[in-house]
Amino acid sequence: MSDGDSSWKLHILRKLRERNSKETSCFKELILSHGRLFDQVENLKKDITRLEYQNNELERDLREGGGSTGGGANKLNKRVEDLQERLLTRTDEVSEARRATADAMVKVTELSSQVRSKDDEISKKETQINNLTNVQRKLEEKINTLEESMKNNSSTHSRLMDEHSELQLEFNSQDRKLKDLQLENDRLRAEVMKMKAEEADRMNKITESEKAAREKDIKKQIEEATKPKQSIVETKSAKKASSPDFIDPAAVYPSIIPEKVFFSTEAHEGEISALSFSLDGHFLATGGADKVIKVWRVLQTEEKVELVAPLHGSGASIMSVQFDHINKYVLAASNDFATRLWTLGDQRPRHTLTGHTAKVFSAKFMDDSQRVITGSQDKTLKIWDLKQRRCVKTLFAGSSCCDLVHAHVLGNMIISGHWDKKIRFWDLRVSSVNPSHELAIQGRVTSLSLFPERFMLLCSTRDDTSLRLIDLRQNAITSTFSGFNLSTDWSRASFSPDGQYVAVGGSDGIIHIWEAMTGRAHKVKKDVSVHNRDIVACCWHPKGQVFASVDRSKKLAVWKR
Amino acid sequence: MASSTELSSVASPNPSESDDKIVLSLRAAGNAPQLKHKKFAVEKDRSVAWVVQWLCQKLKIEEGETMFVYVQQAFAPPLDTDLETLYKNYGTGDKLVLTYCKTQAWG
Amino acid sequence: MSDMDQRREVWDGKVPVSFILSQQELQQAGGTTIPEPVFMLLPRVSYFPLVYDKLVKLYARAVSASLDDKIWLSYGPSPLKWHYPVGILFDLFARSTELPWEITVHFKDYPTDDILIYEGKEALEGHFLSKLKEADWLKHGAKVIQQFTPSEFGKLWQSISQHHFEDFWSVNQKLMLNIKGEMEPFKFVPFSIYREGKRLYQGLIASQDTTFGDVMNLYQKEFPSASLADHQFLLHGIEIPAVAHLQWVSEHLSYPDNFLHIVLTRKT
Repeated sequence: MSDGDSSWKLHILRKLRERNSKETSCFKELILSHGRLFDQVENLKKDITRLEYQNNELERDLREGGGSTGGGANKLNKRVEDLQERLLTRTDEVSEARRATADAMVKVTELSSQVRSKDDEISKKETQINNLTNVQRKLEEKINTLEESMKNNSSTHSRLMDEHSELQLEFNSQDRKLKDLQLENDRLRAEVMKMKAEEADRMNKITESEKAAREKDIKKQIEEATKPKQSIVETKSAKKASSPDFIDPAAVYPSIIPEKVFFSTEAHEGEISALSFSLDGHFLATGGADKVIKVWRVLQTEEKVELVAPLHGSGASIMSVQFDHINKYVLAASNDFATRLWTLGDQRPRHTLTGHTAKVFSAKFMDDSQRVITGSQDKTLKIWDLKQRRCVKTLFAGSSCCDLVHAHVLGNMIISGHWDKKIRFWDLRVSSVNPSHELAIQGRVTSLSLFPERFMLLCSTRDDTSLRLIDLRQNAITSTFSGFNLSTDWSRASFSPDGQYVAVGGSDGIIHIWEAMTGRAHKVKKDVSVHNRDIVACCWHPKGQVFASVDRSKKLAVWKR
Repeated sequence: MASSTELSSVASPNPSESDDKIVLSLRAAGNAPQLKHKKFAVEKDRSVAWVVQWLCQKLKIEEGETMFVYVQQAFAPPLDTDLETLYKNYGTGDKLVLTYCKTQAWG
Repeated sequence: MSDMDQRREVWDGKVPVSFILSQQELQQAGGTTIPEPVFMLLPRVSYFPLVYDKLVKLYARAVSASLDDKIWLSYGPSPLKWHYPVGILFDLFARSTELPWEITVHFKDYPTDDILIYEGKEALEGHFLSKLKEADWLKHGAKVIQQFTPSEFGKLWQSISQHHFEDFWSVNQKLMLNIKGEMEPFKFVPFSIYREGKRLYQGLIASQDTTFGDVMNLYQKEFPSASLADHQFLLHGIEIPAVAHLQWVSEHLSYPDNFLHIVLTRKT
């Protein structure tokens, strides 16, 4: 039954109500009132008849009692009294009843007001209850949301825990793998080291045998040549890694004390830091901050110095330069962490020896120029095989190596000078990568120069700027020369080829020279036109008659007596 | 009072119908006496009261006793109801079945 | 608004009646004082015999009625059938009269040809319950009312005689449902149509998807010659819309005996 049908229902209802108002409501009050009146009338009629009846009876009594009036009168009086009494009691009762009713009404009003106040209280309590239920509902909702979020959190947490344990497992396996690899690596390293040592040993053995062979050769040659009786001091030459062109210093090439500059020029575009003559003295090489090595031809007799060629290819300043024993190669150590070899003939770079992780301060040929030893700021020394063109051994010095020399006279020994004020001695015959012994001195070593015939090592130090002579056999400092200031951390001092003098360039532009034996100082006159200040390196010509010096003002000076 | 001449009692089980007669089938219930013939054709204008009178007469019911007549063995129709209305509404097939009883049975 | 509103209005419907003693009988009895008329608001769904006692008390003495003189009522010349509910009689006779409806109280010359003999309240009760059973036979094949206990019958009759709405409907509600207690359309809708001077008409009409208009059509079909254009079908004194669902009308607008007593009168 849809709502559309209920229109007739409403219609019916309306009609019924209309009918009622017409037929019923108009008459209700009237008929009720009439009914009440009717009843009242009937009651009154009844009362009247009753009273009439009573009246009749009374009259009858009166009439009957008329014979004996007194008695009758008495009877009547008594009756009247009786009736009066009864009337009084009835009236009293009525008033009592009325009072009781009044009391009851008062009580009723009291009680109803009490009820009302109780109702008010109840409604107040109800509103309170409603409020509390609301609050409770809200709290329950909160609890629900919190529980939900907690559930979420715990699920997230468990998820994270799972992920974590997974990752932990991953990590463990990776860690194990790493450990394995590390062990493998160590093993391989050890193997490599072992192989390198074996290699070095083998090389040593080979060179030794070659040396022995060569010595035998030389001995034979010397013996053959001993007839002219030249005082070629040969006693120690067995220990010398000798080549045919090796110039024996004792073959009387007395060294000069330089007095006059016969050639000077701005050799480079930046400060010059490396200086070296070739073993036969024909060539001079300078290297500088301009990354170029310049090769000069020295014509001693004509007192001329000509530029032969520049050698390019280095990536940074040249720190040391050396010719090989046959003037085929030029070796240079550079601040670009590499050591390079150029062929002198075509001035082309041939090899680049990389491996150092910092500036290479010094590079020297060894073993007939088959091997090179380099010293670097990365606190290591490396031995390179030129045939294989790679590093075959690394020596761990523990401090930046500023300069090194290869000492044949002490066996296959390398001497290196370090910033930690130590000189380290390395025996290449053993496979250890640690120095065989060390010598502590009072300052940072900036350069080393060796006079092998008398087992003398010259070392220059920075902090207490001095030159020291060290006797290698005694392993002790024999002399100290001071009175000057070094201009750089890589300033080079050198022995004269006859071992008589030691020279060093000072920051004052003066070349300081001492006699090695006596310690007497000679100061070379300052030639202001040449070196104003900051002489970096100086060294004698192998034949001793010429002296070269270079400074930070790009100047090269060649001196004579 | 009804006169018996207005009765047409037919012995055969299929009394004929005419347009102004209803076929009654009178069944006894309780301790009411049975009728020899059950089916009667009665004028349709007769009332239930007439049927009661007729039954009392036919069954020789004493004065003071009365008969109750029921339709569908469910209710006693008002005595002033006419038979035509009863037949039209409560007749079964071609007749109107009335059950009579000396005491109140279903009412 | 719930459907109980209609039921309530039906139950509360009352008509104003004024009973006056038959002047004729009074004169015959030689009474001098004319008794006051009694005014009453009688429920339409109630029956006149329920106030017989009061009327007897008030008037019997005036006409010196004996115990054998049974009270009967008339309106104008028409005796009033005591087994019809008040509302039917009112709609039949009193629609165009001034209210209150003036009814004459008689004690003599009971018109046995026109109205049934009234033996007492038991007769009325018996008649009421019979009508109820007839209605349920039409609605449910009598299956529902067969379940009623005597106390339920008693409560029904008492609620009529006391005119108590809740008591009546507490039992009567059952007759609106099937034996399972569910709402179900009645098999047939119990109804009668009353016309002044004519015999009452009762027909069979199903309740499924029928409207009040279908009842009117049924009557027209039964009496094709009747001109109904100037007539109206009244139930409880009002015209029911033809579109009203018959099932609903039967459930809510029946008289207590579960019949729709419809009165067909001329439009006023």
